[in-house]
Amino acid sequence: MRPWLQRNRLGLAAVVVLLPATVGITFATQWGDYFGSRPSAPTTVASGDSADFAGAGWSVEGTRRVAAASAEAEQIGLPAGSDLLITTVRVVPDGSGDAPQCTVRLEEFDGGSVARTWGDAGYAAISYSPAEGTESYCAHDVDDPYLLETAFVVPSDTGDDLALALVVVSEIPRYLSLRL
Amino acid sequence: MTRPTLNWRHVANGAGLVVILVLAGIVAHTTPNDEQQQAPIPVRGQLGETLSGRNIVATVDEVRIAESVEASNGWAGPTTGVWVVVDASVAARVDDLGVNLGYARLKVGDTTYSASTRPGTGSIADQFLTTGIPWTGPLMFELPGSLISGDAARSAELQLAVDSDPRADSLIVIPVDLYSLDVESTVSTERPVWGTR
Repeated sequence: MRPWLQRNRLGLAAVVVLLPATVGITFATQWGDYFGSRPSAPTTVASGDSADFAGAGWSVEGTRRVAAASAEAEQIGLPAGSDLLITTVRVVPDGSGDAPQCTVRLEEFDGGSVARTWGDAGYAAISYSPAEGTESYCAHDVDDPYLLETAFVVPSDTGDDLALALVVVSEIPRYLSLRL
Repeated sequence: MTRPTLNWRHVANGAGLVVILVLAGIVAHTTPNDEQQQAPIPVRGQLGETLSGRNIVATVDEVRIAESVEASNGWAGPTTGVWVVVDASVAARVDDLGVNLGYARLKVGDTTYSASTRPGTGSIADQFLTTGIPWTGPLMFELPGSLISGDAARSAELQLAVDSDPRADSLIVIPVDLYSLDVESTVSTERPVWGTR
């Protein structure tokens, strides 16, 4: 009489193959939809480098930080315990007449993964005016290169491992992660 | 006539079946139902304690009860009941994209009261939050006067969460003994402040 395992080897093999396949396909479908509908696939651009993305070239022109305990912070009216981080990005539209509209967020990294994020301070109750000759938002009707300046109010304990997450809706889930 | 011999294989099969049925029963009775799966995840603490949830950090410093309130923006709240005034400090913890203090409630017995939005900028109800930078200010809850002298007032709960729906997200829960608080005639509240204290 053959052992039980040997007699049922085909059924057991089917279970071993089909069970993980079912779980895997179910998870892949659900999580695929979830990640596919939000910025989840960063293209990382090292500090100082530039990248072509969504019909334009992007590179970080400079970053400036206004510390909480400074005369400028007081003038701007920063909330206690916060700094103002100002980023400037050079945008070079490809000249097709359809420059990309974007949203920009600041990401703080801890151990290689995003720990905290901030939206721009466009509606914050502070008295900061962007530098002359810069745009505050992605300019849709501009064909010439321009500077995009974005300010963020962040806690003073925010570290230096930062990136600018640049999202263009039509490119989701891809987005640009410009390291500062 | 010979007595039937015990077939150990059949016994093992029976025992295996019983084990499987017991395991299935345990799984069936311990699996969370839909309501439990989507329930808020409570983060419990005390007055004065800083509590952290998935995307909220909150501290409740003081709770007062008054017959009328004068908010920092000049709003005065007439009521036939009483005002429960809560001084709190709230920030987003990891992400501030569209995040506000949309859920601030006071539960007394089986009844839950939302923080009033009538004081407008004099309150931090519905205030949009920033990651790591708290908003500090008052929340005002309008309650029937009879409620604070009932037994349920001894075990009231203050509940705070980001956005308007705390399901499957953190819910800060702080017990408050409203029964033991004195009712003041008028309470003046501080202006909501953005920044560390």
